[in-house]
Amino acid sequence: MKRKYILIDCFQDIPCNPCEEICPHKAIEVGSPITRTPRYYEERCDGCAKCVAVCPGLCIYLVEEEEGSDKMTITLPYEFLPLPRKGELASVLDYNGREVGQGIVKRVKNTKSENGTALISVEVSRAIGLAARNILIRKTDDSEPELVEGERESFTDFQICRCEEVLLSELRTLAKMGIVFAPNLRRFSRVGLGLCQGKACSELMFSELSNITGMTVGELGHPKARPPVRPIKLRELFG
Amino acid sequence: MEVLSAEVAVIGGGVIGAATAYYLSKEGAEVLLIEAEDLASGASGACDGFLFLQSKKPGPQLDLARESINLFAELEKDLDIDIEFNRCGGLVLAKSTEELKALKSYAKKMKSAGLDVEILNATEVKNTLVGCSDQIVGASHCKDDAQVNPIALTLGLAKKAQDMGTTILKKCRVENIVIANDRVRELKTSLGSVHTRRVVCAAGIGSNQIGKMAIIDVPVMPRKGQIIVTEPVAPMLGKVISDMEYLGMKQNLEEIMPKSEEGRRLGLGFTAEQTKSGNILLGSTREFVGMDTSTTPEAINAIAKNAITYLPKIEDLDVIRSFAGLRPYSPDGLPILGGVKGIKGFYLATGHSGDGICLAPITGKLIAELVLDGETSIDISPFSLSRFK
Repeated sequence: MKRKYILIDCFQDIPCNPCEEICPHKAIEVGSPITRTPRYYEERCDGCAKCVAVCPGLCIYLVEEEEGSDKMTITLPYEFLPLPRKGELASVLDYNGREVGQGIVKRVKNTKSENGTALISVEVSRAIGLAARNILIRKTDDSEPELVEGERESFTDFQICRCEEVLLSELRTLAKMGIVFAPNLRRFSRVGLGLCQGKACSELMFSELSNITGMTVGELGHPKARPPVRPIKLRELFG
Repeated sequence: MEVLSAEVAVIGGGVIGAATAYYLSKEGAEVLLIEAEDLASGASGACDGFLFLQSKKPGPQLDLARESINLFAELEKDLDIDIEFNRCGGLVLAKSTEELKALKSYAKKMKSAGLDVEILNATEVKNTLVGCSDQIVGASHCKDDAQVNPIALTLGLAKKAQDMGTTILKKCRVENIVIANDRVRELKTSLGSVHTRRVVCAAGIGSNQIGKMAIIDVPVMPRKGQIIVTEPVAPMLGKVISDMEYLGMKQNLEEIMPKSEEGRRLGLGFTAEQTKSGNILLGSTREFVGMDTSTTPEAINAIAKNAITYLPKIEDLDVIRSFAGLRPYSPDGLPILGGVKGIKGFYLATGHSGDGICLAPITGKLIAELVLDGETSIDISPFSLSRFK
């Protein structure tokens, strides 16, 4: 008998529920408040792995096992380049990044609908299967890996600011228009002007901006930070 | 840098400079836009998006504003960036019978100036503005009041101007203006010389300094406006909203200015608008504190308190940010537009005093006419610099 189920490594009370929203079978429930950790109902799950690709924390994994077999298949989210190839031998890493064994890449799925996150299915021995959290492909030489055509493009755009849902490509467009200084990029794109006020995305924005423009972080200028430091209810502002 | 030349040089990359460059380019002029920092890095990037006809003084100012609103509809189509122009209508709320009485007499003036204003009673206000306070006894409504995204507007105008041939120099400071035989000849800038015979000063709060280079006194003072921003929420306001004290502050009407000592010190007036992204911008203050652009706990608290008084149901919204900008305030609150006696080729488009966004399109259009044709389609003499002498 075949069994498909997911593992969720989510134990922080953070406001996040894409897994709940994307599941077509209501097999994952976060509910309210949104900071609750997800609950999983295996009996409703058909193993579609949509949640694996959508989880921003990359902490959901799909397990496929068959009764009587000493192997199992783990499907994990993968956001590095180059992508592994089907049939490649991969080192299997655990939660702490330690190598716990080896596996064979069985499937590489990288579709637009997954928003750039590739799904890698690795066949591993049952003994290490449930510990597998990532894989590492050992390079045989130091040369730049060759990318399959279209691979880089599919990965080069992502949401740089999640609160305001600003894509990296939007910053590139603005930079092309000559808007390169950070305060103005923020003003025009709204990057860093949402709920977290740039606490989560500033560093990423500066490093990407530096890549795009060739300017140093110092040259890019610093957008002004303004009160409140964290969101505060209007009624709590009575002085 | 090599020596540049331009048919017209526009000083200032805010909304006024961008609009002026846009209308000049549209007429085929060869324009150089000089900006000390970056586009919209001054007041144009730190304000709300009110296009509020009801707050304009009936007379020349209101006439300009009405022409400007019509131009927004054209700009919305012509610019390549969505400026989020929304003819949502606007409300001025009255929270006492005295205020309502003053509002009614003010509405009469607006009506006789041709503005389509109606007075709403308490029930009608409640139906228009769901969840507003029971204290509100009435309001005036003008369906032509609107809103826009000021930052997108500035960028859209500048980009379109650029596409039509305008050159934009950023991080470039004007250091001197060379005038010979009563005519502008050259600009000295931090990036080199610019040969030009026509200069438009659209430098906002920097206009005073630019004026000194031409040995004229441009009486523009920085007046700080603070605004707070809530988290984005589903559309709930529908209209741009102000109170009577805001009107009092805008038009120097003593009888409806804030009564409390704090309100006076801060120049407090209530404003609320919901942007396309869903954030509610709550304002605002009018403070003379030099070049200081900080936001202060005192003002943030006062704005929050004021806002809850009028809109109790927003009290559970999270405030995520505050910001402040320096409005180029002129002594009578009206813009300073037009040429300057004794200096050919020097034009002023400044001093908009918190109405810059609303008046930008018409300002740009009229200044372009003046620079290129020597006359304007609307009389701008009420806004001339010489009115202060």
